[in-house]
Amino acid sequence: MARPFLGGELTLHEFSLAVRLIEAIGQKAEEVGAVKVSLVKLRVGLATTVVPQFLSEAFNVAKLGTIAEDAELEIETDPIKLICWNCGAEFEADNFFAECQSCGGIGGKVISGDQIVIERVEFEVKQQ
Amino acid sequence: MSDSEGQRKYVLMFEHLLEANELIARRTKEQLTESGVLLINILSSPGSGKTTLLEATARALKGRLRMGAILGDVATERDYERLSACGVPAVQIVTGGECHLEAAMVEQAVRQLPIEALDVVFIENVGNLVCPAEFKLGEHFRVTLLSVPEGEDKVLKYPHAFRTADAILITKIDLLEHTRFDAGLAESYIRSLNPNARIIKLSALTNFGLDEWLTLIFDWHGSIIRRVNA
Repeated sequence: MARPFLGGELTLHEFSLAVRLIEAIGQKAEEVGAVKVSLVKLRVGLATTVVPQFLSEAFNVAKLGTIAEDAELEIETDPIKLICWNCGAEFEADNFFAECQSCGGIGGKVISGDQIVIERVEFEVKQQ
Repeated sequence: MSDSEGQRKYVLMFEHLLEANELIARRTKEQLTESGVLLINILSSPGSGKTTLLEATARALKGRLRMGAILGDVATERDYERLSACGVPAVQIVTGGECHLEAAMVEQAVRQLPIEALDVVFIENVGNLVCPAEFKLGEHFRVTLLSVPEGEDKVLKYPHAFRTADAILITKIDLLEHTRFDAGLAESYIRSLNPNARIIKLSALTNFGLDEWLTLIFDWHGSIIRRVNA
């Protein structure tokens, strides 16, 4: 499948993720007999490389000419959860070098916030 | 179709967006493990010495491990020519704008390599510290390069590629005296992000650190062979 360029010379990985998203919801739409997808809810962890705004813009290009053409994309971000390397306490953070609230240690093992999950798709089916 | 004609419904999916990519990556990894071939994914920013490292690695592995290469670039086949000149069976993936490699591209490239005649395959990802970190390609191990001229703060600015690495090579270490690069600081940044990663200081020009790098490759290859025999 030829992928159009988004803007300049380099395509962003958000665009290839948007294409994957369209493919996944297109498949689901077919399964449930949808005629139109109206809303997609996505959760994006702050530990991923995804910039939600870029993903939204990419989605608005990638959806053209598909069953999700009129769909709205709602993105909710999930915080990073770390287990402190030093004391083992679990804490929430907005970056990988955050300070542990218990011991002041820097950083920890990422246990949550590193995923991109399609949570919910709203669609329309033909009236029986 | 207007809203009045349609009936609104919803479905909960809870599907990981990268699941399809990861499925292909797992398939590639299993296939190579069964064949006793080690797959290493190399990430770095452009110009930090990935191809030069692979050239030096090819020279050093000659007669010890049979090496292949998969090279990802936005344009040109220059890297293909450089690795071929070292006698390495290589496949060039020209992404034509895509900023990273995906598992399907690598699966296809693996089919073009003489896998049964190889022990280790290196993937040289597109030079970029952001996007490639998100895509598993089927590698057994991931290596990220940080070159001395880039500065130690790249670990702070682009944490994803360093967070997910099994080994981090500080390359162009021969330039240390000409820069303000603080190797101790670089290591402490890496340690707070990824304390289990092996850190190797290396120069592909002077061969400093090359033996340590080769030992790591031999160890990793051994772990794959043990998996096959287990």
